[in-house]
Amino acid sequence: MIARPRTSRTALATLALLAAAPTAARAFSELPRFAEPAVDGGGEGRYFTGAPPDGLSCSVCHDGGPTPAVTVEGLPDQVVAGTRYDLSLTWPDDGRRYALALELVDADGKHPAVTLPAAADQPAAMKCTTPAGGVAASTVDIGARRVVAVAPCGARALNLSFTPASDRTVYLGVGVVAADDKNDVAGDGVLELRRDLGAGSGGCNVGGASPGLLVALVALGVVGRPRRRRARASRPRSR
Amino acid sequence: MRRAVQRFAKARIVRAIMSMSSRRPRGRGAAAAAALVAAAACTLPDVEPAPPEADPVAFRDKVYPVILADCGFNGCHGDPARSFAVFGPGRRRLRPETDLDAPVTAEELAVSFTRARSMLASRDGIQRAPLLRKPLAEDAGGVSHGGTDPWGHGIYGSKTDERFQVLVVWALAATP
Repeated sequence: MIARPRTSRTALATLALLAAAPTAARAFSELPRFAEPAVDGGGEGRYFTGAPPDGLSCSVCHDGGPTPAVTVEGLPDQVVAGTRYDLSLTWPDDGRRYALALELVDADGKHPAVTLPAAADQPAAMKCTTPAGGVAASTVDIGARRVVAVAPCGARALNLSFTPASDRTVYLGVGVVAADDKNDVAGDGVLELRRDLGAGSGGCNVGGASPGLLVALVALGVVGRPRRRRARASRPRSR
Repeated sequence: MRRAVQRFAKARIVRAIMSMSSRRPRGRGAAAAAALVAAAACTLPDVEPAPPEADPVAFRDKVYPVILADCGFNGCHGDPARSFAVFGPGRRRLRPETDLDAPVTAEELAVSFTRARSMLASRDGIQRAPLLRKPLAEDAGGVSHGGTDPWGHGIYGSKTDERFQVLVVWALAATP
C-alpha cells in the first residue's frame, strides 16, 4: 500500500487519541447480546441464523471442530396455508456445548406463526442441564421476524411449531455451534442448514436433497455446512 | 515501495538504453531503446494510486461501527491476513491477549482505519473504489465478493442502503 507518511501518521495519532474513550464491555454469550451494537461486541441485530434476513450464519466466526450431527424432523416439502407443522431438532450429548439459532421467514420477512411449547410442556431434552431444568429455548422478535435461540446450557433438542398464513415459500435458516471448552471461536463445530419450503421447490438449497434424505444427510453432516462462496443461487431477498 | 521499485526499474532501463546507444550504431540503438521502452511498458507493475486522505474522526464515529458489524467476522475481514481487515470487540482482536469483549484499542482502530483507507485507492475514481463496490450486490453495481451469502445476497442490496451510504459519504469526503 502506498501512503503519504506525514498525514497518515497524523490521522493515526488522531485515532489513538479518539480511542481513549472506551465503551463498556460485556460477555457475548446471551441472546440479547446479538441486538447490541457491534462496537460493544454485539451482533448489531444479526442473529446469524443463516435465513435470508441475516444471510450469514455461525461459520463466519466459529470454525475448527467436528460438524455437529443434528437430526431434523417434520420439515414439509411445501407449506400449505393454515397447516400447523411440528419441527424437531435433536443433537447428541457428546460433551460439547450446543447453541442454536433458527429462523423461519417468508418472502416478506414475516415469521409463519412460530411458537415454542410452553415451558411446562417441554420435554426434558429441551431443558438445560446447567442449571438443571432451566429453559434453554427462547424467542426474540425483530419487527415481523422471530428468531428462536437455544442457549448452550445442556439441552439436546428443540421442538417448535409454525403455521404459514399462505402457500408462499417459507425460508428456513439454522445455525448450530458445538463449542469446545475454550472461550473462543476456534475449535467449534458448526452446522448450517438453509432450506426453502414451498413454491414446489421441495429441496435444500445447499444440496438439492429430498426431505426424506435430508435427515440422514444432516445427521452425517453432509449438507450441513455449505461453502459460502460456492452457493450463489438467486433467491428473493426478504429485507 | 512499489514506486521505489518502479523508479529503480526505470533507472535500469535508462542506463541500459544509454549503454546501448554508446556502443551501437545510432539507428539500431534507437530501435533497441524503443523496443526496451515498449517492453518495459508491458512488464512494469501497474502503478497503484495512493489511497486518499480520509477523515479519522468520521471513520471512528461512523464507518468503523458499520464495517465492524458487517465485515469484521473471523472468517471474513476479521482475518488479519486479508488486505482489508477490521478488528474489535466481540470479533477478532488484533492481539490475542486482548479480551474478546474489551473495548476497541487505539491500535485496532488505527489498523482498521489504515486497512479501510487502502480500500479507497482506485485508478477509476473513488466511486469505483473497492470499499464501495465489493460489499454492494452485483445487480446494484457491485462486483464479485466472497461475502455474498448462500442466498446470493451481497452485504448491501442497493446503493440506498443507509449503512452503505455511511461508507459512501466517508469515501467521497476523502481527498486525493
